[in-house]
Amino acid sequence: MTESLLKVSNLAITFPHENQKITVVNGVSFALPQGEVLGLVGESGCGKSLTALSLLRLVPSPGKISNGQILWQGKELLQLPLPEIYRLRGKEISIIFQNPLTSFNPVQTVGKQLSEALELHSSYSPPEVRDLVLTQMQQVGLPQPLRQYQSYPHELSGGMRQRALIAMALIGQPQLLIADEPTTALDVTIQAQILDLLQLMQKKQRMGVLLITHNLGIVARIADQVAVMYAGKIVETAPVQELFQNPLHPYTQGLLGAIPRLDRQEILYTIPGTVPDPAHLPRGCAFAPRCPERFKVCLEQIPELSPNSPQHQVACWLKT
Amino acid sequence: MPPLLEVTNLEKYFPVKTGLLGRIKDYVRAVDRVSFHLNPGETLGLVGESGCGKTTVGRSILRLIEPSGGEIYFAGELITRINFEKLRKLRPKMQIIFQDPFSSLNPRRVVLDLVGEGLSEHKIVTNLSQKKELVVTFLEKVGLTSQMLYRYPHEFSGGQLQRIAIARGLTLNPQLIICDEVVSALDVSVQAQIINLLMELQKELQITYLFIAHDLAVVKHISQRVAVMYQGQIVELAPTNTLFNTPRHPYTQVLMEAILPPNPHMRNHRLLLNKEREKTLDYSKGCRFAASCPCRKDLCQEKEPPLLETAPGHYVRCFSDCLTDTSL
Repeated sequence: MTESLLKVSNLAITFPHENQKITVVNGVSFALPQGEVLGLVGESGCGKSLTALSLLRLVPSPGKISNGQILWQGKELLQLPLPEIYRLRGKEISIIFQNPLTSFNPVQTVGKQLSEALELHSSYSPPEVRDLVLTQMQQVGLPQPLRQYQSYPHELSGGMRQRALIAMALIGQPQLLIADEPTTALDVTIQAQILDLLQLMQKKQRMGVLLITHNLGIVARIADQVAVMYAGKIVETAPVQELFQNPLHPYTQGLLGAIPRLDRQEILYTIPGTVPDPAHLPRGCAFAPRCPERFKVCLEQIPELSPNSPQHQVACWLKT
Repeated sequence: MPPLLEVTNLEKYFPVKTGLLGRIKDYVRAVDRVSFHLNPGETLGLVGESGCGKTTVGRSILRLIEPSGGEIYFAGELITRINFEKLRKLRPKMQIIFQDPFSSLNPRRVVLDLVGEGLSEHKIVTNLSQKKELVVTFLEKVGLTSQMLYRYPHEFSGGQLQRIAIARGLTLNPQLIICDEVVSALDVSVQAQIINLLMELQKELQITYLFIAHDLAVVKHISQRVAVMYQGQIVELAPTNTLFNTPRHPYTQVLMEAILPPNPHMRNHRLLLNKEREKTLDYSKGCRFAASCPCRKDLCQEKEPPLLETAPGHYVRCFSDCLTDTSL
């Protein structure tokens, strides 16, 4: 394995709520080697998006990063002064959000918004910037770059907007791309195109990609490594093949069983109960109340993420 | 058995207005000559991408949107031309459940009123205790409890709200329920719960579903037959297994390739067609899919293909047959 581009350890994010502090992300650790795609999977509210936002110090107020370390190429991001972080954003680390329409400024042309990162982070002259932007637009498969350069975001279709957004994120040649549900708002056929594009660009620029999604199909398609989150913690992490072939955590097993498959037709497995309220997490393993295989320890002590095999880590008492 | 619902040549045109005076410039053919039938107790899946007209079809059947043309027969009765009073009497037999329960349930009313509204409206219950009793039976049917009677929608999770919406749809003992993307807004584990619930209810109460969705895997799981819509028309309709094993319309094939199976061994790297085509080309006469079609023939641009039965129960709207062409 190559050296880690990004290393997150023990990250915790808290929100104040009625005189107490709720820990929404609790002790998340992972590493992303250069040129790899890490899929961070989980259901809504599990803290996956907050984890992603924290990497660029974008956690919305009143939330706070209360603990942990984020090492970016040897630099500790949580200690850097904000102006230094501004210098990273869009240049070394870029982010793509779910809804391409709200990610654009509706009253500026697409071209102008795409140029911004270069204008801020480089010393290119305006004509050079324009050429670079047009080249990038062509690379992401926009059919008529010149025309779309002058368009306003609302004039593009959903798929084109997402392509433009990818172009905007990649224009600064970042080493890490954070993609937060990049295709959720799109139709299935467009989704497949955008995923192909992301993968192509990732290989071309040898970027690391942190892919946040709830869709295991997307993870199976483009991730190299997967981390499954539940109630603010990573409960399992493994290479993609291994995770799908040999899921160890009962939650991961449940998630995989709950997906309707084309190759099988049986009653879907359901995980009983619902996701716990982060303000009232159970004392032991957060998944224990819904777990079909729980036993006494599970209700009393929180299991730590520990290796089951060299590459496969799981936080479950059953497996230790 | 005669079909419960029969839709023939259903049309809905929306006018496109321009300028200050709002002159009608053109019409959007949101639904264009759509025909299908639903047998009692079966589930017909209706799939297609956003804007293909699948929701408009669903709403037109209940006449929540007035269709511009065509006929809809429900249990043998022509419902496209009956007056509002008669329609109101029929509505209990046909219900609809929407995608987003947060917006389809009134936030200022408690569960008792939300679920019991139809019961009071159609005078099935006359007093509160009767209403409570019936509402509780329906809540229990969908896996909720009587303790939830006086809670407001914001106190529930998405999955619970969708159960409430289903209970609300069930109270009037409907024969047909139109499920409009009912599981699309839910998380995977909750989605599985709701799908199982809908299937159990169907078995128990013999309900017929028109299941509108964009997720093919979900549709395959729940439906006996599937119709694929593209730009306002049905392009293919077949029994579920036939459709998934031998999709004949190129658009259906594209949809199938776009499915992302949760299995890293099945990463397919076929390049999909580019849908962002040039708008300047004129494809108004021929097949609507021609511009993006990988097996387009000259004929496709000149004439619109009819929906033909190629095998028993398998209808396809296509001149060329792409199936044998593996170089797609």
